[in-house]
Amino acid sequence: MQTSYEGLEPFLESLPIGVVVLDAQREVKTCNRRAFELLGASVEDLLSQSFESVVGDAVLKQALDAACTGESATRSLFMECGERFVKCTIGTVPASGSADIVLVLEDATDSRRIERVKQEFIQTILHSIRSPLSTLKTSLSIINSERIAKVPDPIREVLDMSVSEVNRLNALLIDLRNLFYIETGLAGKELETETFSAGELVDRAVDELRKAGAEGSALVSRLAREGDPKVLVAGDFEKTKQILEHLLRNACTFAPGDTPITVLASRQNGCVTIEVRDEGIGIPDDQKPLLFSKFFRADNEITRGVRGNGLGLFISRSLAELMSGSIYFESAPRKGSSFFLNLPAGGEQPHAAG
Amino acid sequence: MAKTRVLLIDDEKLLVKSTVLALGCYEFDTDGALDGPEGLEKARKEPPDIILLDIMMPGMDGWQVLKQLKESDATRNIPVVIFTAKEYSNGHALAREQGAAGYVAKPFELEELVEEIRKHTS
Repeated sequence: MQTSYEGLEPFLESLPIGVVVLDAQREVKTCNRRAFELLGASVEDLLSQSFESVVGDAVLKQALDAACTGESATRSLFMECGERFVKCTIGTVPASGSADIVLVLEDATDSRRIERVKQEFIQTILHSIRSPLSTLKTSLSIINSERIAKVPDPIREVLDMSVSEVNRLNALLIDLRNLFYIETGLAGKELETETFSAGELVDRAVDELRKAGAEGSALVSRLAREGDPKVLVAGDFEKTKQILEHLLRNACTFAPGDTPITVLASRQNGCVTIEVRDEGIGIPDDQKPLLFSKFFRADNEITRGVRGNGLGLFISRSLAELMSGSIYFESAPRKGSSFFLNLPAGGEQPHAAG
Repeated sequence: MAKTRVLLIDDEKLLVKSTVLALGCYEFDTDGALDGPEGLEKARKEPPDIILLDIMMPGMDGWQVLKQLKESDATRNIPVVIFTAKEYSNGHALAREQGAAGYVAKPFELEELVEEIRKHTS
């Protein structure tokens, strides 16, 4: 069935967006002037050649194929057209009963430029804070060492508090950096896959928490290790360590007192599972679906007194997935929770750790 | 017993000051250099027992410094421990591949650093 668009032309010309209608053979049935401008093409180009050869964008071709086979109702993509950056939304015209495809074109050059400036700006901030903060953290903890000097108790107390504040700031910066890298798709690019043992990973994560404060120090005596610490994991060591730190920190927070916190490492087929189990307050059923959402914080008598940003589990899950792994949990209120971190198993031989 | 002589090359002045101060409380006699060229000169004039080398430095970075240290007869055999901004499980193996003796990820703890220095000097 043929659909005519003749009566629509004045309307199409009045639109601030580009509109192109293609038939099933990808010939242009109608389009407005704004579409030529955005595509950087002339009327002759569009009329004499097939639309795809004028635009020549591989992603667009795929999207048109998908639209023709009815795989998706509407989809959006971005194309480079000369110096312009164009957002293209592709849809079919279901009411017409024809196989016509409608493309709506919008100039996204400015919004992309703003987005880029924003990204560079945030990246610069994160980078500029990271280095001096790292220096400050190291220097403060060095100076606070009992070996260095006998300082009066009140001064030691101030130093201790300063160290813990700097640690908190450093942890926040790591979270914000991870969040930004996840949201912009840069996180996957900076991952470096290594092979390491689960035991080594647990050692280093616990060590990091021990250095960070009293809660971490208490963890050392509460921690029970089960399973096989020699199982090998393939992943980015630093990021995996950050995930495990989050899981252990949560276990400490939500299982107060001296109840045991268990870390269990096991391997099944090509997958290593590291389980962090606590005997804490557990997770109420109504909060379970929200647990991995960004900025979600459980509301209970414990979290009201605890500082947190609600990013830990969101970041942990995103990082795990980027490393071809996953995180899930099982929990019963007032009995405790188990979090399972699954990652691809590493090869047979670990790297020499010196 | 003579003290172990340590040369620390890092562009962060605060880190150099606090580390030099702290290592002085152990069996180490530590000198600092705030950039690659200064570090190379100090290493050549008075070769230390060990060099602690930051990788991320403006101008001449740590890898370039390491290369020059390994090219010169006067400094080739001095063990070098590098500071990296990222933590690796196989950091020591990576460091050795590049010609360094060991590695410490920043931010580090004093005990960690002391242990690493002792490992390569005793």
